[in-house]
Parts: sequence; C-alpha cells; structure tokens
Amino acid sequence: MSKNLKEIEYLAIVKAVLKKEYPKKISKNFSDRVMAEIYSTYNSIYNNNFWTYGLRMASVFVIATITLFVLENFATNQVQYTKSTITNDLSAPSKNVINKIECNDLNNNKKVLKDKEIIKCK
Amino acid sequence: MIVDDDREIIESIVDGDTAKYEIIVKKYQIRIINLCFRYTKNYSDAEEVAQEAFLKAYRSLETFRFDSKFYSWLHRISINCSLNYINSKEKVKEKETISENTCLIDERRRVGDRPDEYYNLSELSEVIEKTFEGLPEELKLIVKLREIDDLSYDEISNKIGIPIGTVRSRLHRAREILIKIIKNSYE
Repeated sequence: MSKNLKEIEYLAIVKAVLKKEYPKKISKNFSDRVMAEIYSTYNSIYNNNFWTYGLRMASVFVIATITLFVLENFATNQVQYTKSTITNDLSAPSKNVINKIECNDLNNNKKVLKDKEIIKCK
Repeated sequence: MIVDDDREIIESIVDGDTAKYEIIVKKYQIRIINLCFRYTKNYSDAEEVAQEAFLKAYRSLETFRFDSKFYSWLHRISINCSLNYINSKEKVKEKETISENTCLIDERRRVGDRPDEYYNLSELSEVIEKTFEGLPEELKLIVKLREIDDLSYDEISNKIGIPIGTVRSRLHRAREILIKIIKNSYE
C-alpha cells in the first residue's frame, strides 16, 4: 500500500508538472497531516455506517413485531364465536316474510316442474 | 452521470474505508495547493487552506453524486475555502488596525524550513520536462493525451487507432521512466 501510495504521489507530481499546475514547493507530509486530522476528528463519520444500518434494521424489525402483535390481539379478538352466540342465533324468531318467499319459491318451483312435464308430454 | 476514475475509491471511503482517502489526497494535493496558493500568495497558508478543503470534501463525500468529476467538485470546494480565507484574513487585518495589536501577527511554521521536509518542485519540474521531451514520440503522445488532456483509455484508443492494451502498456512504460526520475531525486 505504502509503495503504491508513493507511486501515486510521484505520478501526481508528474501530472502537475506537465499540466503546469504546481507550486514551487510542497511539504512531504501534507497528506499525513490531512489523514491525522481525519482520524482524530472525523473518523466516526463513515465508520458508523454499519452500526447505523444495523440499528435501523433492528428498529424496523421491532416496530414490525409490535404491529403484528397488536393486529393479532386486537383485530381478531373482536369476533369471538362462543356457544351462547350460536344458540342465540338459532333461537332468534323466524320471519314470516322469509317464509312467504320460501313458499312462493316452492310454488314457483312446482310451476316450473309442471311446465317441464307438459313439454315432455308434448 | 460522469465516468470518474475515482468513483470506486470514493465509494469504498463512504463504505468506511477511511484509509483510502489518502490516495485522493496524494493524487490531488499538488494541484489543490497550487490553486490555493493563487489566492493566498503564501505557501504555508496555501497548505492550510488546502488541508481545510480536503477535510471539507471528506465531510461532504456522502453528498457527492458523481454529476461532475470528483476533481471539479474538490476544485470548487478549494476555491470556496480560499475565498473564506481571504475574507477572514481581511477581518484579522481590520482587527489589527483597530487594536494596533502586533501580537496577532501570524507566526506559523513556514513551508520549506528544512529541504528534506518538502519537494522542491521548481527543480524537479525541469528534470521531468526534460525527460518528457526525450521520450519516444509514441510514448509522449500517450502521456500527453492521458495526463495533460485527461482522456480515458477508450478515448485515447479511438483517437490514435491502437488497441486499448497497447495504450495501457505504453502509458505504463512512460510513467515508469518519469517516476524513476523523482525516485532518484528523493529516495
């Protein structure tokens, strides 16, 4: 890495000279100073990314679990099928209107059957 | 989106590999210090402003979207830092005038107090230019297109009609010759 860095530095000198964009002199330890400053002050900026990501994922997981728990316990518990409700439904008074319709339906069915028989006879 | 040689490096820095920022610093330090020097007219101040620019760029690296080349972005940051430096310097001057306090005179270490602590680029440039001029024509052309005109390998290959592999090998040969001169001077 350090050999590579030296070559990058030398190549930068060549490039700057050929482009005629260079000062008369430059400290050899300039990059060391910049990196030292970064390590001492700002190192945490991008190194925390993994933890930030992990924390985000964990919070998403926790929120999702809580939401599922809430839905499971409150939404499904609203409808409770007990024995008493079933018997109540059965003992509910029947309506005459329904019976009438049923009778009509029966009569209609009989009519249809008769018509069919007539057709068959023909 | 622009194709940038630095993209891979920048992405790994943002992913947490801070050490790779040194590659960026080494690659652009001379040109950025030179840019700052045009504003500060003082070597030690130029390095200080350039350092501030590199730190500022590092802090904002996550916001860089590759809409331009990284160097152009760094260039803009350096100009802003240089202008801020000029403004602050003027404010200090005003304060000095008002309070007549001579203790405010900056006594920072000057660049180039000891010759082994700095690259003497005015000396080095003569040797590099001379060597460049002495290169065979086909190598000189490749170096010019890549290092001065900033063309990509593809563009160079299309421009002079040679395979990309030949471009790479010629550039590698030329770079080795030029780098050897600096090595001989400083190692």
